[in-house]
Amino acid sequence: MASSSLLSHSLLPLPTASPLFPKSSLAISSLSFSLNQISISRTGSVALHPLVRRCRESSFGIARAGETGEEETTAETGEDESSSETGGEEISVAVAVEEKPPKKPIVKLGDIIGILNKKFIEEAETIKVVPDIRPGDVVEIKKTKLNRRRLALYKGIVISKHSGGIHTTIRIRFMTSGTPVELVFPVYSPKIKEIKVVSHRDVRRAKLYYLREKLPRFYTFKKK
Amino acid sequence: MAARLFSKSSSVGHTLLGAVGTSLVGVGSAARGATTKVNYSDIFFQQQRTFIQMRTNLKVVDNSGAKRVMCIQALKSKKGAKLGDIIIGSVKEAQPRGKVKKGDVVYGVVVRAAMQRGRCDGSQIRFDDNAVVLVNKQGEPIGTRVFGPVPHELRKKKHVKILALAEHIA
Repeated sequence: MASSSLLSHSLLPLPTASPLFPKSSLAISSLSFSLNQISISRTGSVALHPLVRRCRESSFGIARAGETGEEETTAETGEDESSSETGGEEISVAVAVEEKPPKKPIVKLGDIIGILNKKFIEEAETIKVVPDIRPGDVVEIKKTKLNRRRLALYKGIVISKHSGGIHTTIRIRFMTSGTPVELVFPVYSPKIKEIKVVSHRDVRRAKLYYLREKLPRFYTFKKK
Repeated sequence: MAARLFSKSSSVGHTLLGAVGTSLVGVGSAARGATTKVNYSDIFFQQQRTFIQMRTNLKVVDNSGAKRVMCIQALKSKKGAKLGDIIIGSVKEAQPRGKVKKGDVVYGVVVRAAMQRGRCDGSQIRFDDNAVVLVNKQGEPIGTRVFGPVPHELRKKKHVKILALAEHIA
């Protein structure tokens, strides 16, 4: 995904801030190759905040030109990029003139992964709708195989669900050709075309690993 | 290997790594058969499935005549064989009139493994037992039929003939 590659750039180790060089200027020089139309917001605030805001907005491809009426224009960025580290003090003086944008919630370092995961999930949801899956559901999954046109169909009981943001996985147990198989699927993967909950079995556990000792009839399902 | 043999003989539940677990509910399932790894699984102490290594018993799922094979060498890895790898085994149990006899040293392709194998799209697959299809040195199967599902990891490893004979590709 283009956006993920952009964001992965942004997750490179950031140069630490010091009083003389506001973090925004250092960060710009490192990210200038990937982000365009960067505008400088107030420098006095929390070091990471303007950086995160910039990343989010650029990944959605919003042109900042329209919004720079209230903030410094891209002419400022040109100046900044040319005079990278040494231009710190010039920028802080020039930017103090701009009007303050409305206060946005400060994004803490620990929240970033949560924000990114939410964004990835939103993007994945546009491709397919992921139903609410719980252990004990009998589920039908249609998945594209590697380099194959036809979809593979798997029908089995969900024995566990592991929540991990975009890498939420479900483990399905079923029987094929007389052999029990367990498959783990990442639910938001674009390879999975469709997940459908066929029925539900009442269970009193979150993880149904006891089914491995039970009779095969508890995890055998007829495919239509 | 030593830990595994030790765990087989001990009465208190030992996981493969040698850690002592409390007395487990699933001890009776240890009598499931010498074929599978000894399963002391309980909802709290799931056994960590590992590679197929020396002394691992594997089921044979083709009609070459052998029934059980004990791995004597996992080619290509010091740790052991995974799904889709080739092993050298010694036939421990064979049908009376088959292509292989008891005591033969054979090559085999692992088609079912109790250890999960990750795929490049983020999914994982694991079976409940360890099974092997006997092949010759060139990689062609000795038998003419393959029973049970086979994973499509074999396609990448160029075991196309086994895939062609398979009932179902998982």
